[in-house]
This record gives sequence, structure tokens and C-alpha cells, in this order.
Amino acid sequence: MALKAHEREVLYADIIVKRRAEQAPYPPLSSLVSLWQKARDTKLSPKTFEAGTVTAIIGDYRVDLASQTLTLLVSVADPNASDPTFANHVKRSSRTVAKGPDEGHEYSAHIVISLIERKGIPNAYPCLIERVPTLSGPRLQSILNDVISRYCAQDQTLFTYKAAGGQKVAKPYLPHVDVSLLASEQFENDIETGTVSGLKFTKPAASSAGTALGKFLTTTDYSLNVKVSKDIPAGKRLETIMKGIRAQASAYPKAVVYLKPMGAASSSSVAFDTQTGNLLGEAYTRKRRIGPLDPLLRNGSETIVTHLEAKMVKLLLAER
Amino acid sequence: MVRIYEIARPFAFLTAKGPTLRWYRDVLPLVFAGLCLATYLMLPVKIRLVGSESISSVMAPLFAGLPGFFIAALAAVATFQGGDLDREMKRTTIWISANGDASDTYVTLRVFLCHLFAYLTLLSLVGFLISASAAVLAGNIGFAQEQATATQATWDDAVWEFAKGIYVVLIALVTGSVLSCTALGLYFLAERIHQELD
Repeated sequence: MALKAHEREVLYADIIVKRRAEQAPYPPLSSLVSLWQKARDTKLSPKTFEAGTVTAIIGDYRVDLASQTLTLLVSVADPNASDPTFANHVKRSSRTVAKGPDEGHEYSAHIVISLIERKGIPNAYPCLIERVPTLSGPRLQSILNDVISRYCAQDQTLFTYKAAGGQKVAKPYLPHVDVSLLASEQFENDIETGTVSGLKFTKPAASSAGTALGKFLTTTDYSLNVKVSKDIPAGKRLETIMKGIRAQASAYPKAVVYLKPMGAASSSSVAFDTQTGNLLGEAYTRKRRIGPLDPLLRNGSETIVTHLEAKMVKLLLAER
Repeated sequence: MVRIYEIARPFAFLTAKGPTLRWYRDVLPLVFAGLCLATYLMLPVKIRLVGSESISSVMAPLFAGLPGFFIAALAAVATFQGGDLDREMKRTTIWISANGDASDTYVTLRVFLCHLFAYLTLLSLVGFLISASAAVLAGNIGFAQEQATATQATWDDAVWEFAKGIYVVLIALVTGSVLSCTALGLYFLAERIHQELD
């Protein structure tokens, strides 16, 4: 996917605040924002991927109290990417820009996050993600959570709670965020006109599960298979399925819809977060192009590009 | 918004799991109810269940008086300082919902006792309702019995005897639960809350 200098594509998503301790409170997003700001201010060492070769940092941030939004500039440097070549076909000439030592091909993505919760969905904060190569939703999630984890490991008093059983001693807990992409109108259209061959709910197995299976076999998850009737009234299919998905939120965190769009040769699977009803993969993601942009954009940036940010904030406010 | 969870919390003690809890909460009351039923069935002169000098007339005032004492005990436990009250009971859990997660949660002795006395308070009220409703409905029950007997030649008294047996079991179960759980609560109040044990 090559980026164009005069336009960008943004993905609609929710940042969902969660925590890894049962019965612990959900921290407000603002408490996590301060950690991401600190990571940038203190130049926290990069998060690494692909055996340490690819690095990612929070390069810049800006909090707009008037619009109650946070803009993060997340940059990924990929030394594995081949050196870019620029060509002039009229002159039949080309020029390759070689990377220096420890350098990687950089892509920077603007992430604009609402500091106000989405109406009706607790702990879900609307967000727009600039779509760039090497920065998927799960990778962004990993970068944001890595910062939280590292600061929580350094300071156990950052997030604490008292257990519901009456204990007076505060226990530390680890918050984290999920980047949950929103479904597009195309999904609704395909659900209504195509064939839904099934619905499957899954939940991860407890670590102790599966010991009876033997030394080399481990239970990874449990699933619940649901048959979806073809007799759902027209226009009610998406609503009916999403209602069913959310109804299982307490028992199963993930749902997969098996869908064959009308005229398609094969069916595809679309995964959902049952709590929010948002997508877990990029298929059918709601997206929008922003452009024309002037001045033109580069692939990477050290600071927030304000004219792109302004357009993203405007879109986010319309969404919120 | 009224939540069923909050209304049902006095019965949370029923979800408590611990080493000997089932004996106090389930087994002893069942044994007591069984003995009461057997005694009722074997007695040559049947005990009256409703009306004057009946089980319901004796039990209703008793159950009516108990909640005050249990609430006083609950208040004492909630505010008492010292002992092991705020220490987690290692093998005792109660099903609790907090911050959207519901699960069996290890509780402190203080929370355990508060749930015990909350349970006893409401159980006493349930006992009072069972006794009082039987007494209040006695006239109607007698009328229905007469009507049924008059209109059906094949009417069997066994049906009424069965209903009476159910009533005896119900009232005995509640009484047995109140007795055994009160004994457990008194042990904790009289002795255990003053101790600091490992």
C-alpha cells in the first residue's frame, strides 16, 4: 500500500479501556493519556516488533481541551523495508536512497482519540486512525499497551484497587486498551443481501484447562456455534445478529460471523468484539479518505501535521 | 433503576462457599425439617398448623422479633475494630459483582459476617411471612377444602395432608436455617472476632 502525498485514508475505531484484574475499576482514559505523554516526553525506548528489527514510538502528542481530543503521532521504523527508488522514465534514470546504519523506513500515523466516551458504550472512546503501512490496529494496540505495561511495572502504585471482598489492602492492577475497528455500511449491505452461514462465539480457555488431554495437547479456547436462520425479516438481519452478539458479551468476548456476500465465490469470516460490537480485523472496516491535502504529506514526520490533524478532529467530532 | 442484584443481596449468603458452610446452611436445616415432618406425621394428636394455638401462631411472633436482633448484630460487626475481621478468609468465597465482573470472591471475616446476618434478617422475615400468610389465609383454605369435598365425591384427603406436609417442611426449613446459622453467627460474635489466628 503506497501512500499518496495529497490524501490519506482514516479508519474509524474505538479505543476501549479494559483491565487485567477481575473486579478492578476501569480507569478513565485520561489516566492512560498521561502515560503516553510521559513516554514521548521522557523519550521512552521504542517498542520492538519482528525480533527487534522494527521499532515504534509515540513521536508527538497534543491534547485539545476545547474539543476534548487527544492526537498521538505514532511512528514505525522498519529497517526490513527495501530502499526507495525514484525514477524518471522519460530520461530512463533512477535513483535509490539507501538507508543509513540503524535506520528504517519510517511511517507516521496520526491517531485522534476522543477524551469523551461514546454514548451508550462505557469505556469506549471514538478514535480515527491514519492508515499507513506497517501500523495495523493490533500493532497500534500493542504500542499503546506496551507503554502502560512498562510504567505500571516501574510503579506498582499507578493503578490500584481494593478487592470487593472487603480487604483493606490496595492491590495493583494493569489497565490496557483494545483498538476496536468499526464496521462499514458495506458489511450491513452484505449481511442483508448475502448468506450468513453461521455465527461462532469463542472464549479463551483457562490456563489449567486441557490437562486431561495429555502432555502435548492444550485447550486454547471454547466455542459456541449458532445457526442463523434465513427467515430473519429483510432489513432486520444486521440488527438481529448484532443483538445476539452483544447478548453473549458476558460469556464470550469474541464472535465470528461467517458471511458469503451475494455473487461472491467463497465465504469470509468477520470477527467482532461482543462487548462493543466492533470489528476485530480490518475486513469491512469503516474508512474515509481525507484530501486534497496541502501542503503535501510525507510518509514520516517528527511532529503532528496540523492541517491533517484539523481535518481528522473535525471528522471525529462529527462522529462523537 | 432498581436492580435485582441489589434486592437479592441479603440472600448472597446462599452463594457462600467454605469448608463447613454447607453443614450450617443446608444439611442441618434439611435434617431438622426431616425430623419435624416425621414427628408431625407420627404424632397421634395432630398439631394445628393454623388458627389459635397452632404452629403459625407460635412462630409468627418469634420470626417478627428476630430481624431487630440480627440487624443490631450486623451493625456491631460492621463497626467493630480489632481481631481478624479485616483479614481475608483463605477458603471462603461469596459470589459478588463489582465493576461489571461477577465471580466467587474471597471475602474478609467482616464481609462474611455481614452477609450472614443480612441473610438471617431476611430469612426471619420470610419465616414471618410464611407463618402470617398461613394464619391469614386459614379461613379461605378451610372454605376451599369444604367446597372441594362437597363437590367431588372422589376427593382425597391425602391432597390436603400433602399440602400440610409441605407447609411443615417449609416452616421447619426456615426455622432450622435460622437456628443453625444463628449458632454459627454467635460463635463468631462470641469468640472468633476477638481472636487473631494465622
